[in-house]
Amino acid sequence: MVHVYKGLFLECDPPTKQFVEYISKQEHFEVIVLDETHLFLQGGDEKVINSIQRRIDDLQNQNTYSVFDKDQ
Amino acid sequence: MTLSKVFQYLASLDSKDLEELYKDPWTCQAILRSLPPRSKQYILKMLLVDTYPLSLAKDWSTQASIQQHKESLKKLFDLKIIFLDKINKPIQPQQQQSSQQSSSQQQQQQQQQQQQTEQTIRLNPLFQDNIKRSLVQVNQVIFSNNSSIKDNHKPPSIDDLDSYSKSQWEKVLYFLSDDTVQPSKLISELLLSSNLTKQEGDGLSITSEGFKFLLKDVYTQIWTLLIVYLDDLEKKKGKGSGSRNDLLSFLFRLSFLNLGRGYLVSELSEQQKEYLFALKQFGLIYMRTDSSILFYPTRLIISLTTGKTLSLIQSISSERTQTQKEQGYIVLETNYRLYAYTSSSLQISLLSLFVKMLYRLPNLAVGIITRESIRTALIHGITADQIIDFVRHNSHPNAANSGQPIPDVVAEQILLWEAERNRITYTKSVLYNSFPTNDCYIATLKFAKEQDYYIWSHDPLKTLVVKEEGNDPIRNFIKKNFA
Repeated sequence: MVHVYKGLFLECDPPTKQFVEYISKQEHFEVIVLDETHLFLQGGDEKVINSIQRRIDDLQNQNTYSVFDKDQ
Repeated sequence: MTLSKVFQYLASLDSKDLEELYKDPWTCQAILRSLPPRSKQYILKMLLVDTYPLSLAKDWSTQASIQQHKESLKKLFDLKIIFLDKINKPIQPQQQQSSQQSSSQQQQQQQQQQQQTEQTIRLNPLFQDNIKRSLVQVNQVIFSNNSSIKDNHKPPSIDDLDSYSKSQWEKVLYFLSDDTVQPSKLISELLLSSNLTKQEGDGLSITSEGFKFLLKDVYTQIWTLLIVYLDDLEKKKGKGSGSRNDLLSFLFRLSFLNLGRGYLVSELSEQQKEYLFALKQFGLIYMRTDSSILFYPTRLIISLTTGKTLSLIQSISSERTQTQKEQGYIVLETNYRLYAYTSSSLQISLLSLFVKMLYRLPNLAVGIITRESIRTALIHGITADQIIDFVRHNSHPNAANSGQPIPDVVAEQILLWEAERNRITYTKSVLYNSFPTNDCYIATLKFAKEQDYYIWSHDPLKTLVVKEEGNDPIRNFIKKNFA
């Protein structure tokens, strides 16, 4: 019979998609890989999205150097 | 050109309210004065005619500006200043035709008859009469400023009025940008009901709408709060009480008063006195005390309906002698450093929303735009476009004259920083796979597309993603057809 999954449909660029897959293994939420730019987050909700967003921000920050921000 | 705030508001009122408003001659004059030049011209063209064929109105503009022509007319339609009518021209009685007339000839006559219908436009009669009357009348008095009654106190100078209205309005903006300042109770209530602030713990905190509000021009800000006040009046006093129209008319009348001249409070109705005390808190009206004999309009109320924009109240009195362009104070360099040539704490406070301020000198503040300062603004709901427009709008004349008020490298970087935060878009949805047959998959896919639930699909994998609300209808479809 047809399988049905509720959740969130994500669209993003390929590197971010790879990163989300990586996070999903660490934080144990289920993703279904659809193609290079689309993912389906099984059972996903606002809380999981915020968690992913935070992890992406952290990754972004690690790759950014700023003299002034260090002074704070 | 987008409609200014007040015209958007007027266009949203229903016909009955607008009819009531247009009964007041001062309201009609204020609206006429505030309209863009093209709209003004159209009204004046039609002032002395009853109706005008719409087809001839096309001659009012060249072919190149037909789009502006249509937009101007639509604006006037929305404001119910111009009405569109269809008139059937009387047809000349024709000779009796013989019964042998062919059917094609009869059809031709029928078509000719249909073509006699003509679209015409006419001015709202109330509006038209009031404007005509105001053109021929002299010595019109709005409110008495009878000099035989002496106020015992020295009247305020124009500079005093400018300082007063600036400080009153800045209290509002300071409260939004720096919560140590307390505005009056009325202003607090308006900020809450307009969603610019929200209750949080013991105090109020600013919302993302409030951050956007801070970066707008002064008259847009004032009208935003006045519109909330008008809507609150409508709710409290009940629909049909006419109190909203009364206040709108009062505002329009006030804009015709002379700056620096006092007017008798006793001439006002009780309702208008109540409004006066509210407007005082916006900095639109000056009274020495609540029991003063005279009230004085400030420059803010007089300019409120002229359609001007004023970026910030750097110096209200400078509006008298300087053009808009000369009011800018920001220089932004390609190395992201920003210099603000101002002594106004409020302006520096606004810049702090998206700039990291480094030094404060008596008439110069130095800051730098950083990834973190921009991201902080983005988190508060301010957009990259708003920041870029704000800097452009307030750029120092030297920077503006060089043609580069904001360097491209900085503008593009701000947009990139915004894009960083939007790398994922997501939609609540339902995914289906493992369809038993290809027919089942294709039929379901077709159904999802027809019903506009479709988001994504992949045929080789027989996988379908649809919107969340499509789940029940699609399950029913599958059960009904393929169970």
